[in-house]
Amino acid sequence: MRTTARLAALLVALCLVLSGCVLGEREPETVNEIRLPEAPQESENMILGEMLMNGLNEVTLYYPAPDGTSFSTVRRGVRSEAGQSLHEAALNALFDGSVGQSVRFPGDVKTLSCEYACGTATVNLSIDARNVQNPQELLALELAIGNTLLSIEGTRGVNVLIGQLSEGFWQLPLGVMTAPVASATADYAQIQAERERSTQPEGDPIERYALLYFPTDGGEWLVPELRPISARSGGFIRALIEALKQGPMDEACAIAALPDGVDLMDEAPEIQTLSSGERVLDLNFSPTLANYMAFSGLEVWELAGSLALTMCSFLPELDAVRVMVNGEAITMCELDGSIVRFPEGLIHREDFSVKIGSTTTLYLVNDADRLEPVRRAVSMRSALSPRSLLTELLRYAGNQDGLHFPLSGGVYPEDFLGVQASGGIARVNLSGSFYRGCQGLDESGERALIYSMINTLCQLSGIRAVRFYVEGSPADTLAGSVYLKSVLLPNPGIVASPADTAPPSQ
Amino acid sequence: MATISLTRIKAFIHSIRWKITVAYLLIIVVAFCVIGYSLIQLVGEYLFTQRTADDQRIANDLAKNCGDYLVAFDARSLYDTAMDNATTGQTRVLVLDKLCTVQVDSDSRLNGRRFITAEVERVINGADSDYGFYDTGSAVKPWFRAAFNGFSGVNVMTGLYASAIRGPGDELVGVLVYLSGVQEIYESLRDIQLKILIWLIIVAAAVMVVNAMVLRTVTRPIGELNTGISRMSQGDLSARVVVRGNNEFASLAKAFNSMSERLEQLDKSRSQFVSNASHELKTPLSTMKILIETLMYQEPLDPGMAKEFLGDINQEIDRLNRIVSDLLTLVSIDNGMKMNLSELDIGALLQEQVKRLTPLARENGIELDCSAKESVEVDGDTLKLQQVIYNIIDNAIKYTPRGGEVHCTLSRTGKKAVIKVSDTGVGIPESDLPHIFDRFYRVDKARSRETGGTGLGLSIVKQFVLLHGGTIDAASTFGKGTTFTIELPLSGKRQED
Repeated sequence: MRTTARLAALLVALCLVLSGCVLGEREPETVNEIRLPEAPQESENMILGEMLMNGLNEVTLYYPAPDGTSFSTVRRGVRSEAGQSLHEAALNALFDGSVGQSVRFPGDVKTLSCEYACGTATVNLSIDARNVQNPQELLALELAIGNTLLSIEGTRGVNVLIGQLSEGFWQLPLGVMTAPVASATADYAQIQAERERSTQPEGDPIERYALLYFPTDGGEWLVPELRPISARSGGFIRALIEALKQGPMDEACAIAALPDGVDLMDEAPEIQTLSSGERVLDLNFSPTLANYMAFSGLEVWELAGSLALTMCSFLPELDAVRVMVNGEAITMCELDGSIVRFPEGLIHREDFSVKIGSTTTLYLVNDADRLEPVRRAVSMRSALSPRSLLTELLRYAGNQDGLHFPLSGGVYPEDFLGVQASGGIARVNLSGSFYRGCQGLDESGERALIYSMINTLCQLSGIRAVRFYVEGSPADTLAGSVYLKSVLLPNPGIVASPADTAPPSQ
Repeated sequence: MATISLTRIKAFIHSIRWKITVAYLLIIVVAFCVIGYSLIQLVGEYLFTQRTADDQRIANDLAKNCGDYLVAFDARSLYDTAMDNATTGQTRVLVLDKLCTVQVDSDSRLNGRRFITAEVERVINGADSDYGFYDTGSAVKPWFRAAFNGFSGVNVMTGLYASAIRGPGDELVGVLVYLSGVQEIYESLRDIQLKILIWLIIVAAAVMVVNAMVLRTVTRPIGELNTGISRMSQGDLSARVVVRGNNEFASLAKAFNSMSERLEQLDKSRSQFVSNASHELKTPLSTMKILIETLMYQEPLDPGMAKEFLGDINQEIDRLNRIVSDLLTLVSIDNGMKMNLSELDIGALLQEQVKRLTPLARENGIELDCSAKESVEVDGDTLKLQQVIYNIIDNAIKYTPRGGEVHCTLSRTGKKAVIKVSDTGVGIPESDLPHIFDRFYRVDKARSRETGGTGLGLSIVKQFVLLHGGTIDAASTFGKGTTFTIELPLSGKRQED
């Protein structure tokens, strides 16, 4: 009996030893005294307000060659001044006489304005631009501007106006440049060929890109949309009307100014030259349009602005449009609470240039704490302003349903104490109130909040990363998870894919 | 019932069968554990080495690709690179800056968090790369470092490879972390472990079956032998065991059967001897009782008859005395009689006995002669050899009718002295010849008693001859005569000659 017990004990001990060898687990290895680099100490100046793009941005400037056939390029660092967009700074650099002695720009040409909205730039040059030797030089000037601005990241189209008028060649619209042109001579020859072709009844239609201006959903702005237009000579007016009737492609934040599917025109549109020398487009719409406006709530200024901006930005040397609905000319409208009158019903482009807005993408948080991009119409300046975008995000704070900015409330635009953008990094200074408002967020909520701001800011040209401060000082975290002493890159992966956000199929 | 079961269990536990079975099982389990452990170690080490090298190379390549992107804050390119090299549920890529903050996560779950592990720490502090293994499936300790060579209880084993991301001037700008699931390796090792376990069970079962068969061949004969011995110990000397095969156990069974057979014969001989002795002793006692009772109840007592009866009683007493004397002699022989050995001339001894019995032969009308002229020395006890020769010649005279002859010869054959005593007597039937040296055996019982024999003479003769290292044999033809041949070894000196 004793021997058996000993044998059994030996067997058990052996099994335990062997099982310990085969199945044993080592104790978890502890990480002691991790030595990690500290965040660099910065000479802290409280970031207040907004300081943008005070760094140099590389821009390629295009200059017409002396022979007029090609362009010479100069890569140059351009610094945008306060309140100035990069496009304006690039145009100033282009017309700066210090570069290229042989460049033949008219001496007094100036940029009156540069509207940059929705990835398209509309440059309004002073009338001095017409002081050129011949149309080919004028074309070379416009192409140089277009090539230069198209070299800036994010620019999809460039439209050049001179004295608020679109320039044309033999009454053919030049349209919006969407790609750099290598040779002005070749482009000029192309236009000549198109003119000859357009006079023939069976000739192929001419294709151009136009900027269509649509009212925004909120009734605040008119946003441009780049659209290819195809028509024969004289048919561009109807083509533009039809394009406007089709409505915006980006329906998230813009609406159609004209109803689709019905014939709106009582009479054929016609361009008249008034005794004053102004070229005016008469648009006589049927009562259907009035019914549509009453039904859809479209404001008069939205209709007038959409038509004036679209037509005058495209049709050559068109000064104004005259819009008649049900036989009555639009002679006035209410704009931002004040009455704007149009003498003799002439609606000029500049009447509505202040209402040109842009679209931007805000990254809002869904119920799964993932981000969804939302297109919103804002002013052109806001679309380029990091602080304004952050302020836009705050409008969604406290939303209970759907997309939101995950702060419960008590946070105001002033809590973004300042934003400074330089060297590709936006430095955002948050207030203590903002910091307190973040307490209580869980990890995913905190991450969604921070990357909502980062992803929104990083869509701006020149901003590739964001660093946060609280009351001017670096803070470890807002709510305990995301380390804020690092410069944080945007997070493409947190953006919900369309498949994630699509409603379940029935 | 329970007591019986417990007893049987105890008996089983104490049995050789159980001990051998346990020993076999122990050997098999230990062997399989050692082999399995070694095998799993070897395979696991090979798989892990291969996998580690591959994954570390991937991590290093990714780190090289990510350097420029991280310096340029190109999140999209970093993310695309991470996604291109990440597989859902299998691999994951993290890009950390030099503050260990996750800038890119292919799963987009750790962005912004600091990711601090021993491997990352080593890279941050100067190493180019490092790796470790973690059990990422444990709900209790999600990130404890698991053993490299142990896998039991591992839920989701993941390899973590950290590699330095360097920017312009070879400056450290971040760390790339490549997480690669190695669970399939653990699953493979678990499969091997399971197969080893299954084989262990199969082999153990097979060995147990073979063991049971082998043990049966061993323990069955032992059991039968045990039963036979038990029967014998209870007095059943007829117990035998079945002899199977031709192995050691068969030899043992044969030896046992032989022993039991011999014991049975001895028992029978003893019974026969006691019966014969009782009978031999009872016969003179009965005769004496009759004679004495006749004398006691005879009135008046006839002196002549009384003298005759007393003479008869005296003869019966002499006979009893001889029987007892012979029995004592046999008992003395059985208990190891002491011999007074000396070199003696067996020829002279033979002639002396012939001479001593010559008057008896003449009285019975028998011619007795001896032809022993040469001197033959043997080592022997003079008195006992005298008794041997005297008994043989006396027997020949007694069983040879008047006018017959008894011849005694002595010769030397090889290293033996050969004494032959031949008679022309009645002879011995062939059926009695094998038993003539048995105790109390008589060929003709009536006549033997008439001659005054005890039935023990030839037994004593044979025992004496055997004590001298010799042999005695009888050859006889019934009705013609008998020849006894005694062979004795020559003395040591003679043999040397």
